[in-house]
Amino acid sequence: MERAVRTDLPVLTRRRRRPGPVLAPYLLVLPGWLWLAAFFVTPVIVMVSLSLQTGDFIDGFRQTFHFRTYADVVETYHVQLVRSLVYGAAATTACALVGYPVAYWIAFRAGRHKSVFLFLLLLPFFVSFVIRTQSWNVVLADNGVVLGPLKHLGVLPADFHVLATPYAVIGGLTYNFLPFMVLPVYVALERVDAKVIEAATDLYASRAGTFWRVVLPLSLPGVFAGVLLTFVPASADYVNAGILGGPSTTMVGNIIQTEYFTNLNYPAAAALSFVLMGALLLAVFTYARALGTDDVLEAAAR
Amino acid sequence: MPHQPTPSAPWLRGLTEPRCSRRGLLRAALGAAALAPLAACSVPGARKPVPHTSAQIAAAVDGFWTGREKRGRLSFANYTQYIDTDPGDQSRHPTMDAFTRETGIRISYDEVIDDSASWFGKIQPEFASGQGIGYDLMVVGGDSYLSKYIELGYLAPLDHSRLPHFAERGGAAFKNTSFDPGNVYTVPWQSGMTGIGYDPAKVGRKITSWQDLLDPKLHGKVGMWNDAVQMGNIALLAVGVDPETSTHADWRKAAAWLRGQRDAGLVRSYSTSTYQSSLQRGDLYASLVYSGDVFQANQSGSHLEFVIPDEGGLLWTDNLCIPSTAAHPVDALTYMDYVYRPEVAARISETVQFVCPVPDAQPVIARDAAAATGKRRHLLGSLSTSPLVFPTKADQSKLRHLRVLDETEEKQWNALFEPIYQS
Repeated sequence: MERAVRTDLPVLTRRRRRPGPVLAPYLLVLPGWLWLAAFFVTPVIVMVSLSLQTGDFIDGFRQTFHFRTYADVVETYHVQLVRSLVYGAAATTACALVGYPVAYWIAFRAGRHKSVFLFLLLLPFFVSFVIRTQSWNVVLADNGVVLGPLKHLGVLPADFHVLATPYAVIGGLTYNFLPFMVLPVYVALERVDAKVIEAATDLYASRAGTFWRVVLPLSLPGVFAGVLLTFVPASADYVNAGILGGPSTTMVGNIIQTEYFTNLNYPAAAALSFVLMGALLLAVFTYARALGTDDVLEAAAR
Repeated sequence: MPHQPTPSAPWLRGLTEPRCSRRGLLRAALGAAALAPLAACSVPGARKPVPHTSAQIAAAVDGFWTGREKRGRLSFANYTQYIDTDPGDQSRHPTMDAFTRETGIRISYDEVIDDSASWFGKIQPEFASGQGIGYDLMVVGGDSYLSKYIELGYLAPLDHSRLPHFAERGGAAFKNTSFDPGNVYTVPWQSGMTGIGYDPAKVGRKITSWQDLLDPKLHGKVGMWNDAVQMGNIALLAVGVDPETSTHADWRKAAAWLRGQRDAGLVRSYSTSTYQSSLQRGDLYASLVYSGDVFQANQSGSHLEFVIPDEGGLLWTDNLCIPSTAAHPVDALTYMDYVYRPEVAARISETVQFVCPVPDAQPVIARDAAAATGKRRHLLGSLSTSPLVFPTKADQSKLRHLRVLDETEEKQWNALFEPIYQS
């Protein structure tokens, strides 16, 4: 979609442009393009090709344009696909509900200790993802430090458990991806001009009114970016379901891992990856449309 | 563009109107260009002729070993915590140091293998391009990956004339296995049993059979694995079939048994990575376990029991093998034979605590126990008499081997057993 605003800018640039550096912008973008071509386009082409091949590992895979693999994997694994999107959405919602207040507090109330709190937020990243997830197994053990005393006091029934349930998996996803939500929201809130808030106060807006009608709308691009950064990796995650999950919490990431590494069924793994990619894109664009954001990436980059 | 009258015939309109913009054409061309390489792509197969008759094998052995000499170096890839360590310094491995002193062969030892699948994925491209993988010796489980290594010609056929200790001291149960008849490519490194581990205090009775894992009292407290090979094989035992001679119909019966167990809500989780700690914490009351896990858990204060169920348990083997691309194969073969000396096997067992493939190591451990003091004396004493490390005759008669699957069978097998834990 063409954007018709900012007509003043081209005039300025046109006047300043000299004949020499016409190529300069392209040269500046070149590393980015090369990076994309080498590490995204090429692998994606290879994977698309792989998803349309048939054969087996020992005798080799041949290009047969076997589109049927796509239908097969969707038919076999639609439950896990839908579950992945639902878990991803649930974890993203939880991240937003927990992360927004945190970002708000750091942006407006943390004062000169802002950087300390941002550092604390990033601190868990210095420990391996798998180790952190595994440690939830200890924390949430059936008779562990959290549930044990509650059961002892009779607050919870003796056979109550969190591990091996969908709640454990969604909780694990929320925990692992929370910083990806907090940071963009924080950046958006940080950019809210104090004068705007002051103006709202001058115009007799209550504190709640200021938040709902001024601060929240101005921070929505940050929330949008946060949703992108949490929803996509959370839906594709395979660590949490593997470590914290039970008999029916398998996510599509686990299936892809099994198909690729255990079964060496590369076409099925590749096809499933693209189905997941398609489902994620569809979900993200639907969300953008519902939110009234015309240009998804523009909003995310703002 | 000068104005042109619209032609009346509809088909002519298509010729005069700019239906295809330049940008559109460019896009279409780019799209086609992106699809074109797809047709050329493929992943080549790499099946190599595998020698079968003894004459073929002898020729292959000759072909590989003729002209190879000792180089004084070797590199060894292993799983983590799978060799003896000096109690005072975890980075030292006394049996390897002794090997270097005796033979002058230096060993660089790396614990780089996590599991069969990821290790295969890591080294396969190097094999496929004919490069060395940087290791002269590696540990491979006796599963479908071993068959893949063999069929792809990635392993060196072993020269048994240079393995006298293996011939003399290797336990009969560990020789001539179904996954490598005649030990053409592998010799066992460590072995282990798959059975049931449980906490008698929690279960409240003795577990003796696979059917006990269907007991409604264990609702939501049973641990199973996300491993189609082990799950399928134990389920075959549970329905009373010897895995090695099982048929496709038996597999379906076994899968139904596992599905029944899952659908009854007995299974809490399917995981090979968390069952051990879950069992120790009491989140699981009973689980599929490896024998060595229970021995180690009990050393750190648990009171778990390991049983080989009446219908039978599984005996699996991790094996030493030499990549066909190894740079120092003679040195690797020398080390392979060295670990079959009873004293060396005993030292390794004292740390690793799995099933030892050298029965003569038992009296050595007993002797070490008598010479040791305090806690170590107790540990070695229980180790030398433990049926988990040296299975009794009665236990051995209950142990079965994993079903060896060919490529087609493996697909059918996975299609039956994977959906059970990937639900």
